[in-house]
Amino acid sequence: MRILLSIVVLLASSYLNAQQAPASYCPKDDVVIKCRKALVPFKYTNMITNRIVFKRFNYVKEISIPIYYDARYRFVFNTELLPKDITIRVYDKPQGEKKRNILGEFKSSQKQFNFEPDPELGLYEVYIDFLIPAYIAEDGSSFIKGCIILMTGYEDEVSDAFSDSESDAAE
Amino acid sequence: MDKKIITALFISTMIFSSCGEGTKQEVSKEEQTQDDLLNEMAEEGEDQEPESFYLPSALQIGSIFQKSGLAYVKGLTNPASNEQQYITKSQKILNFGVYSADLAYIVLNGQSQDATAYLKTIKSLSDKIGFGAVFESEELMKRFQNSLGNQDSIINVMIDIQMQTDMFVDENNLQDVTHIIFAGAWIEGMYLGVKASNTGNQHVISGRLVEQMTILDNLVKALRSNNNQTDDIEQLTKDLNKLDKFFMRLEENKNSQNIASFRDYKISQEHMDELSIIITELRTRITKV
Repeated sequence: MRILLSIVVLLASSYLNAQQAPASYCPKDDVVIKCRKALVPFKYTNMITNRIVFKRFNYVKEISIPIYYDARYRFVFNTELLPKDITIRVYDKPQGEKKRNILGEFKSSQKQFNFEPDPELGLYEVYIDFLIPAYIAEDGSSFIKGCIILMTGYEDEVSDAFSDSESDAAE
Repeated sequence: MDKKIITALFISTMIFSSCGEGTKQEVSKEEQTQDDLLNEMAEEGEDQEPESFYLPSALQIGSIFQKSGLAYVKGLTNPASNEQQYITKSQKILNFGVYSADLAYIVLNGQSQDATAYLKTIKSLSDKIGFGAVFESEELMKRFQNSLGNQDSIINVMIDIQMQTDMFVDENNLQDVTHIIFAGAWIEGMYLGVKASNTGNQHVISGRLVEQMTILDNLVKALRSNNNQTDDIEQLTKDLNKLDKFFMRLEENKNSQNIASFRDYKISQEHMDELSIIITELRTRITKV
């Protein structure tokens, strides 16, 4: 009887494990915790999952983020769920605009990084470009996909009293 | 005994393996369909993977207005009792957003006596629009109750609710719904800004209202990307687009690309009044019972 119970328990646990296995290509629970730690002391405002598909040609995917004039922002990027490396650039104007300035550039190989727009620039929107390189698999088959988690937070003037806003941020 | 063991083993194996297969089949079928679609897109060279739209939280919008001196005016928020009278799914989703903005306004202004009623309203609507899982935690509700009267704690709870909502939306591919929720919250936030400003703070608040217009472009794009448009959401999208165009046409806005800061942005009283009328009409259409 004890053997029977052990086998049933074993079967049950293997079934439950199978249920917990990530069903999507973007299993981000752990990543979200890392991002949230990196956001401190900024207040969470939003999180978006950017789905990235590698195609047989180079392309740029752009998203825009509105920001408010007297708040400081931190954008936390986590790229560890990408199967291949890409480049991420932050601009003050959208694609196609003349006199567009680059505000920051990152490689996804960094896995996690922060960007904080300079409040002195008086920007009300920033543009994030994902430069996705062409890809073809060894066997000639099509595409691969992954995702980038972008978490944003803001800090208001109350925080000016603190000289180093990162002093208590978790590593 | 041997027979019983074999029978029990056989039954349990069948139960577990059939359950597992069912789920695996569902997952693999879903993944396969998604793969096929993406494969096709890659082959055709189309860039049609789901677009991401960044929209701020209702709490942040409320916080921006509150810091600019927006006063609390009792009776401006949509009464919690209206909730029962929203019949269609679109009404429920939009008013979920409206009540979220109201809750932020109430909490940020320290009106904790009303906060519980509004959270309960939001919870009730969440069940009806498929977001019930976000609010089902008794712990969360308890934390909210215990934090009443403590501004920082209650804001932390609201931030946690926002985060859980974002996770839930992402995991369940409910981005279309969340864009409609945001539309409701945005319109209510603007309405409160228009109605609660006074002569003392009007200049600052009008700058804030204009600043909010920068979100409108993203919001309209997000609503347009909705695959399951209903007539009322389609109409709302058109109205918001009209509002966006009205703003872009303003004389004050001619050099909008060069606006260094909305702090110094001046909008004429006439245009402010016009903006106020449009916002009030939009809000009335959403909240009327």
